[in-house]
Amino acid sequence: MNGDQRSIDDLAAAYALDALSADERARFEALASPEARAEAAELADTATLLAGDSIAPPPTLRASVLDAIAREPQLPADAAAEAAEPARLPSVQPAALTPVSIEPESFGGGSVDPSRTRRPTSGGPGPAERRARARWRPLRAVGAVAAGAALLLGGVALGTQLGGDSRQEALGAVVSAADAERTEVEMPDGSTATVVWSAERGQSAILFDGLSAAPEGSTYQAWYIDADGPQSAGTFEAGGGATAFLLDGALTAGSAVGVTVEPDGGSDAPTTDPILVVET
Amino acid sequence: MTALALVAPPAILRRVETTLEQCIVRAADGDQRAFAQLYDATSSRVFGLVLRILVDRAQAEEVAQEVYLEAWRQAKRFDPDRGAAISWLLQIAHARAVDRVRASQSQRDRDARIGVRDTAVPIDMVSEQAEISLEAARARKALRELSDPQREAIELAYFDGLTQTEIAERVGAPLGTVKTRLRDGMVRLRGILGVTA
Repeated sequence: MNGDQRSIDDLAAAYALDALSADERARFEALASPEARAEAAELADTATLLAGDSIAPPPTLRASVLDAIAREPQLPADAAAEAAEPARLPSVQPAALTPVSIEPESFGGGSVDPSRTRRPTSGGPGPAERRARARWRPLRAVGAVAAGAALLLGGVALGTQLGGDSRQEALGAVVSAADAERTEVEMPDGSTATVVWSAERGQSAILFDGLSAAPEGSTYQAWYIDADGPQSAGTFEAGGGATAFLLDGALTAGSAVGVTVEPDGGSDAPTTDPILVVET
Repeated sequence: MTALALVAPPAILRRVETTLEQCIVRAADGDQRAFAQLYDATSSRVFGLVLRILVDRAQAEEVAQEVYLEAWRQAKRFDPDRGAAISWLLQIAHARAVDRVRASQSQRDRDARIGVRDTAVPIDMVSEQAEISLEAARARKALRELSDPQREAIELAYFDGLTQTEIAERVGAPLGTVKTRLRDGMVRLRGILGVTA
């Protein structure tokens, strides 16, 4: 184990206590060893024993909770996430940036459709604070490793798209970059996706939580969209689990990140309406 | 003997926890009555933790609601084979409460809040307490077995929501020392308390 790995793995106890800064937490989730994740999961269980004495909430809270869940859809089961540690959950935060939905013919133009904006789940902090929180919290959604990859107890799951350590490290570098920004959007199938980008590094990634597989014979394809139109940023698969895709190519200032469903093998230019578009 | 009673979790608690896991599994199929049962069995523990961290009752109520909403959304992803329902819920509750502490308060507000809490809450908690759980008594006893610096670091993290860096500033120790205290202290606690589930 080299020193860098040890310095990350040493964060397991602090991670279990929610005592890491957003930046440190992102690093741990992206880069910790399986052993450190397992330890974090165990210590998190231990920490809950400290929770202390019971205090009855006001009776009105019960009615309020039951009323709210009656109107709240449930997220799909996620086999991969179940195989990993169940307690590190996405703490869904509304994004302050406004995701936009654009039609293929307006690629590069960018008509805004605020209906894609995820609604806030509660009142609370203002947009700036929400944005600061939204930058990191959704990483917890990346809770499992796609089939075939090693299971990482206690946290992150990096998908099959991230074959190899260098891709993992590149993803970790993007999410923990000092200038990293992120926007969370709801996908047409009800799952959530978080686009995270670092202008400084010129890279971006999309973290999917629960995105279902593309239809038979098709694949997902990512695009960087700028004034010259969409440039392919690679194809990827999904399977209802948590997965992360690091986009190929370079993010240039002001580009949008998009995803479409394309025939197997991908296309030179988008042939369908985008299912995700986020302006950086 | 008191000590024995504190060490051995009574069988009835285990039975209750089994039922809680089943509640979540049924709730995962959209069973709102099962979720109501889960709420009834756990809301005092969730609220106790959230209130301890946030102090402010209105905020604690908001966050407790968020916790259950998240549990409902995530119910299908709960795996009873991998952990106890109460641990799952309390981890959601802790993360949410700490999020709220960090997001909603300026550092100054927070220091003031912690100052107020340290003097005011014990009285509050005694008067409001619905139930002193065996588990909480065990945990307090276990915490007393740690060294003072270890206990202080863990309490600042778990109950005050401080990051390890903030703890280092607070206690005037190097960050590396605080990391070691958190780790050694938690590993020791795990040894004393055993693993849940």
